[in-house]
Amino acid sequence: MANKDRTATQKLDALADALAESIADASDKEIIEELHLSGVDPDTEAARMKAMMLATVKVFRQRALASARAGYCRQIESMERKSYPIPGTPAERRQLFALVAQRPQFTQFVTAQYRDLDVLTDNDIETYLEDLAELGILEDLRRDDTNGK
Amino acid sequence: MCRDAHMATKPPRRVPEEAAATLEEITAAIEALTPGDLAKLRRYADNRLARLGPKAEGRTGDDLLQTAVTDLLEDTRRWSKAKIGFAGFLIGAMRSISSNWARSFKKEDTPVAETDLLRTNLEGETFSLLDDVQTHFPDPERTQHQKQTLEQIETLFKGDEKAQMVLMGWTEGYDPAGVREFWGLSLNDYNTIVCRIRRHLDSAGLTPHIGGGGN
Repeated sequence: MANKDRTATQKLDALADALAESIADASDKEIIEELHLSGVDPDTEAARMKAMMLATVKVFRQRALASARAGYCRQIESMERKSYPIPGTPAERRQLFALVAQRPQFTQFVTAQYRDLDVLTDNDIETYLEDLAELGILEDLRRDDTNGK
Repeated sequence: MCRDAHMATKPPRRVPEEAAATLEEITAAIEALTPGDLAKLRRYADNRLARLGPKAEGRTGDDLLQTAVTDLLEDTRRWSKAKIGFAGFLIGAMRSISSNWARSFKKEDTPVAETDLLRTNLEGETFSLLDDVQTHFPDPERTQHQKQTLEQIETLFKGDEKAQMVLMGWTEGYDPAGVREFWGLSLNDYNTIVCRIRRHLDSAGLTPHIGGGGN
């Protein structure tokens, strides 16, 4: 069986592989006993390892959440930096908003609370027009007007 | 014995996304690991690190296990609950990761104290191994250490003929089924001998030195 051509490295590697695989195949009882014999308390070690793995999961979850939150913040920042093609004065904006609310094809974008223009502040209207611009509704409105719809 | 039949390995197939365990399932599987599973994972990780020798580059068994868990969380590796238990999956992942570490090891990248690289030749001249870093040659000290380790193992099991038989099979690259077949050992006998080998190596402090650091 012995092969003289095998180097010490090859022999030790093969031995280490076999030893490691023997652990995978051994019974739990045997391995717990061996750990105990090597001076390690199996219960303490089990608790430590489980905590270590669960901490990794926790870090991963937090990282995923942090990444989602960072993405959301980036989106908000980009929206805040963006300038929208909406009229410069409150009166003009109110007029444009009324126009949108009257057009049947856009009414689905204007919720009931926004249909009563008298109760809306200038700030409400500005914010809502920005949202409509972000959704491309104002662009559609402009195109419809250009096409004479 | 047909050695090739026992030594052949199949490349692993990637688990389809729909069969892969979710984050909640992974968390539950970690929580459900028994002390026996964890002892096995710990011993297996330590043995794989010993196998790497200098290629471990300061990593520990914990690093290996954590890499397996991280790979799973990051979807680098997938676990199919239906096919294998969680501990079995982690063992397979650690086997694969440690083999990758061995393959990707570059000897020149390992930081070594300059004085450790100084040698004296037969003429008494001192030279540095860095003088000829491009030339790949076996490290004579390491080779000597490996030979000594093999001799120590041989001495340790001098009076245990069955252990010697199993050890010879292993060092020749036979797998467990191959060793049992070659020597006509029953599974029960084989397992008893293997357990004895592991315990003697451990008590002699030789386990961390076993591993040639090859690929």
